[in-house]
Amino acid sequence: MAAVVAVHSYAGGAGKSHLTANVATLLALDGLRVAVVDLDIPAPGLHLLFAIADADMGYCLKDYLMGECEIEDTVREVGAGLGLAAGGALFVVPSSMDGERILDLQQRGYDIALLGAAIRRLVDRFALDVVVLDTHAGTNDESMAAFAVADTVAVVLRPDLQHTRGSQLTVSLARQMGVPRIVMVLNLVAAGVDLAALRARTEEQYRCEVVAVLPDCQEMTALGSGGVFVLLHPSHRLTRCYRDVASRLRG
Amino acid sequence: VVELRALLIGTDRSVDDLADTLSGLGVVVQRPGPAPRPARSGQPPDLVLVPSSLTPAEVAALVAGVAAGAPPPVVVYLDGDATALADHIHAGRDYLVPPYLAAQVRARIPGTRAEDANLLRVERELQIAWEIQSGFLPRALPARDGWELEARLRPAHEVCGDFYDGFEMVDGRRVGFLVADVCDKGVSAALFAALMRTLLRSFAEQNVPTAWIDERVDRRDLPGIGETALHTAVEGTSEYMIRNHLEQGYFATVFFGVLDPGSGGLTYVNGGHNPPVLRAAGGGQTLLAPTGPAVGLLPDGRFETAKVVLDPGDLLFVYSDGITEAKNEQGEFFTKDRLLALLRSPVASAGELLDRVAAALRAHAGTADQYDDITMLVLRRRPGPG
Repeated sequence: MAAVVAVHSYAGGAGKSHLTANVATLLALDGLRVAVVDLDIPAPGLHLLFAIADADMGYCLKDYLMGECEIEDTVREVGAGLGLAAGGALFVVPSSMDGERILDLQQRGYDIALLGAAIRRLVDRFALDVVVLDTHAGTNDESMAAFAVADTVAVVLRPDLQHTRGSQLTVSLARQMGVPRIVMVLNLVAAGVDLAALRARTEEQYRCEVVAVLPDCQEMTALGSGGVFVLLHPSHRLTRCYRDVASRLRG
Repeated sequence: VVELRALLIGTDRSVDDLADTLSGLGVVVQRPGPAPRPARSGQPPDLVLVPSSLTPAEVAALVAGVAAGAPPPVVVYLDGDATALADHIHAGRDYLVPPYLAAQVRARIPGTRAEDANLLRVERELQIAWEIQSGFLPRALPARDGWELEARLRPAHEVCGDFYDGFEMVDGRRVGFLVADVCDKGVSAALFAALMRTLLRSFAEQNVPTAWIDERVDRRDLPGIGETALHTAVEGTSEYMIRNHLEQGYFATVFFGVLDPGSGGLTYVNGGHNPPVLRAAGGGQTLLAPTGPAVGLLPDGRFETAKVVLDPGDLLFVYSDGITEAKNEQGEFFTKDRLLALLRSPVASAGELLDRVAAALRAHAGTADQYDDITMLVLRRRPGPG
């Protein structure tokens, strides 16, 4: 049975895509078969982190949702040359960067059940151990679908009022839907903050496990979504934090 | 003004007078000669005039050949021996004898009087209505490898309140099909059938991704592919009918199925429809009971979806109650038991089963009038190799 992890945040800019890409990469490096799916249809970005060129986009998630291909046709293998441990594999299902096509899909809609079916099929066809779903911020169809299929929902938030208040809603929706495990990831925490106190306060506020408190750091800012952090900075303390998240999400 | 078309058989000189009188009454007269071979397509004549020198059997054969549907009224005119007329009168035919005075012809010929002309106009309108209504039925039902999907509909009157439909859903990933029976009969039912058919199909083709979040937020009850559209179609149509047409009191029983041709999974809503029969390859039968009320009937009606799987060789028979309630000359119903018995024998194809039921209905009815519309649909999964 594959583990399905949905990474979500109430507001944008919390660092969902980075968390998704880095955790997935670390799990694949450890020898797991991992797929990441870009469910952020309105604002896709995973293909940038994994350096999938626009020219190589081919079929995307959107094409599957519009009935133009099967989900297998959208899968890119990106693990080659990363030094994955034996048995490891890393796949990406990108969304579309074509603005017109994004609007097309949003205007005509699609059957939301296709997302759940796609994930089950990916797990089956690619013998996956883990699927990580990157979602669009806020309450929307794709994030609800992700909550519906996920074993774990990781709520990513920055220590700011919009994020902390809004995450209440996210957590309560996930609870209402019966998500088996809800965890919090505090991200972009400024230097000097008492991490242990913040963690304890957050756990009390949401009555959820906090799996990581990730520091804000210059190297990540400098990367500017131009790659997967843990591959470029394997010894960085943020990488160690990501590794911790990965092992906790793995269960 | 409705134009009356008469087919005048015969070449005798005396017929010229009859033709003149008819023309004077505004009737369009066609004179094909002694042995007409009219095409079976195109507009049939409104009446046929035949000479008394033909035998009643010859008249019957001739009339049967001039129209594809119900034979038009026949009037026999006298030519030659007056005794020949007696046989036709015995056979129940109306007749005319010379001289063909306008008043006499008008009295004898249906359609030349004002009230007849009105009736004729209504009949023509109904004929057009049926042509349009039958155009609402799909020309072909969606085809899928390994599956047969066929349907038949026979109205009891000129137009009907039954309908069926079949179309692709979710970009061709699913096949939707339905059989519906609007309460009441005739024109009123037909008008609502047109409305509800359009609503059902239109709602089914829309994507309403968040529809499932409202009430069934628990992920254990999440809909499958096509299930949201199915639910939206039935519930949306019902709500529309109640919001806009409650006072008119029309509703329909609807069986709406969504098939996954790959797995054989069938998700359905049965809105108060008589339970379709799922016949397993081995002959076992399961009835798919209603999962909700008739569509448009109850303001707070809830429609549940249910699921079954059709394995190779299995079939689903969906029908309207015009079958089980078909009467014979003694007024006895065809009954569900007889239908279930018919479905028990092995089935070679969907078409074969439809033929089998149609033949049994004909044999049962004899000369009794068809009381209600009859619709049947068969979905069959072809037996797998080996």
